[in-house]
Amino acid sequence: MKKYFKNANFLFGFIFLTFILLVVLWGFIALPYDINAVNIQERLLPFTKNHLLGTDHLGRDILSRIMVGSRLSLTIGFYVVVFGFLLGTPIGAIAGYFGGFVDETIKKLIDTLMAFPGVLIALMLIAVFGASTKNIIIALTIMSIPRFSRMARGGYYSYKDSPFILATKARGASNFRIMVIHIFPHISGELLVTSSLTFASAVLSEAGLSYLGLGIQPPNPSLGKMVSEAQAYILQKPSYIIVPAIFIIILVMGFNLLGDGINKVIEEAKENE
Amino acid sequence: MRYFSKKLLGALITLFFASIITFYIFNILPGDPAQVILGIDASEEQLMQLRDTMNLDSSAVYRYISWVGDIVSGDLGISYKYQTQVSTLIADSIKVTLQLSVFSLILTLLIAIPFGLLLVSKRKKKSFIPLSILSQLGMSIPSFCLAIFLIAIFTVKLRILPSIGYVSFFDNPWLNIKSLLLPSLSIAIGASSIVVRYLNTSVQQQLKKDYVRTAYSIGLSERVVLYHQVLRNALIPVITIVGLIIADILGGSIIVENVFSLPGIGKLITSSITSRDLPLIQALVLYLSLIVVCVNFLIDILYKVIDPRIRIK
Repeated sequence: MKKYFKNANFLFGFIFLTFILLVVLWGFIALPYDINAVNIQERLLPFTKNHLLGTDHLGRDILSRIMVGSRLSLTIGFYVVVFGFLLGTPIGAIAGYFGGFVDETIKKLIDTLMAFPGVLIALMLIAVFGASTKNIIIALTIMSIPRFSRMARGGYYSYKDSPFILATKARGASNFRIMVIHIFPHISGELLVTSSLTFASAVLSEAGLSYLGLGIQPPNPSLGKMVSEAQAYILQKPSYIIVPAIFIIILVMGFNLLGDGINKVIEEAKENE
Repeated sequence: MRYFSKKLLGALITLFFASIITFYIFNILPGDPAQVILGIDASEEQLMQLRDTMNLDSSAVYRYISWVGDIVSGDLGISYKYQTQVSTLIADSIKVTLQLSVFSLILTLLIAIPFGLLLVSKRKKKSFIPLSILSQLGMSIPSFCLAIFLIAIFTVKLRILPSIGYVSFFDNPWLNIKSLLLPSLSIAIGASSIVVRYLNTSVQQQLKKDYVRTAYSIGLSERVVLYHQVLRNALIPVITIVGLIIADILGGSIIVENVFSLPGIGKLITSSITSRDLPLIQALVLYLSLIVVCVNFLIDILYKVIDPRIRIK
């Protein structure tokens, strides 16, 4: 663990995410205000003792909305990474391990998914099924599958003919056993890196969709939607837009830095072997 | 030639899969698609008409083939919302999106290459960590936040660039460039961070190779080794990332066009989602993926021209 904290990227990522988790936890234990309590008399307040991060254009407490919005971003990111991992990794593993026709087909399917730029797949699904938190998770999961598949494919491909695997095979181990027990531990580090980077991009995509009004739907608050609502008040009260923007950046950057840090430590460990 | 035909076949297969996915997603609407599209208020006559134009009574395979046939021949039907030919709508908006993408790509390379070289040259110095954190920041800022901040600075405070309104290049080239500068910058900053990262990794990999050790051991300076030898080899893989960047730029333009109200594909997609103009979205999605596949194919070919060592594995 020590070598991870010596890495600047990991350290910063860890600090950023701890900060977000503390804010979310605080909101979980003691949410200052009802997130949808409108109070027109107290609209667009600056940072005060009662409203630590001020209030928005309807007089709702920004801190409370940030707490719940960050929690939703984290929840969506978590589901996307878990489902993306569970679906993408086996697909990539089979492609890389068995090779041949299976590999070619899966590779082409992954290429196809990558041919839809950015949030396009998500937009397509939302156009058909409508915007909801569940549909966002499904759409972003589909977008994350290629990342895990590509990573797993590369890993299994590079290990499948290594001497220790051939020896295990000669001893009569089944393909399933080799894939799960013998190869998986060697690529779990890389998959952890992919998970962290996928988390970052899921949060980013969700914020973008919510900004367009096609993501998380009211009454649930979301950081992206807060930015779009605050846009009109950028001169009157710049902090209204800056606060949710900073939270998105800290969240995304936290996971990007964490993934990068883990990646560097793994690479260094491999070189030292 | 074998390389060329293999890549062409690959691109065609990808396109085929992409068209199936696009077709299928819009055909798994629960219930009667005509009802879903037109809403509960639609009359029986309207429903019948739509079922007829959508060929809902024929098999899925037949509908897929006729849909692809329509797309190839440029007949994309009529948009429900705009009541005009989908093909005219797409032709108008794709010009904006393509111009925005080209601008963004140029800006991306103009930012990424100098910054990437700076990062590489500082790799052993203390200033490397803040520089690499800066590139991480560029990657983590959502394009819409960046766009709003740029508007706040350049439009509201400095009053030098417009934030809204698109002018065609042929009407007024100068205004056209000005109106696209902020949107393309909001896309380019994120995209260039990815290129910088990739360039950095590519250089680090080259630095571990034997020829670099040899170059140092015969007494060549750091400068000569880095700029004359390492960089040439490191830049080749960077070309492949341009393909990935194109997808990123197109994806970014979907969101950024909405911030700046540019009449491009992205704006058209989001407004047709709100109005549930499904045939229009379907065609737009397919066209965007077509662009990505074509660009990737061209890059594969370019890659081979630049570095003839590349073989099919």
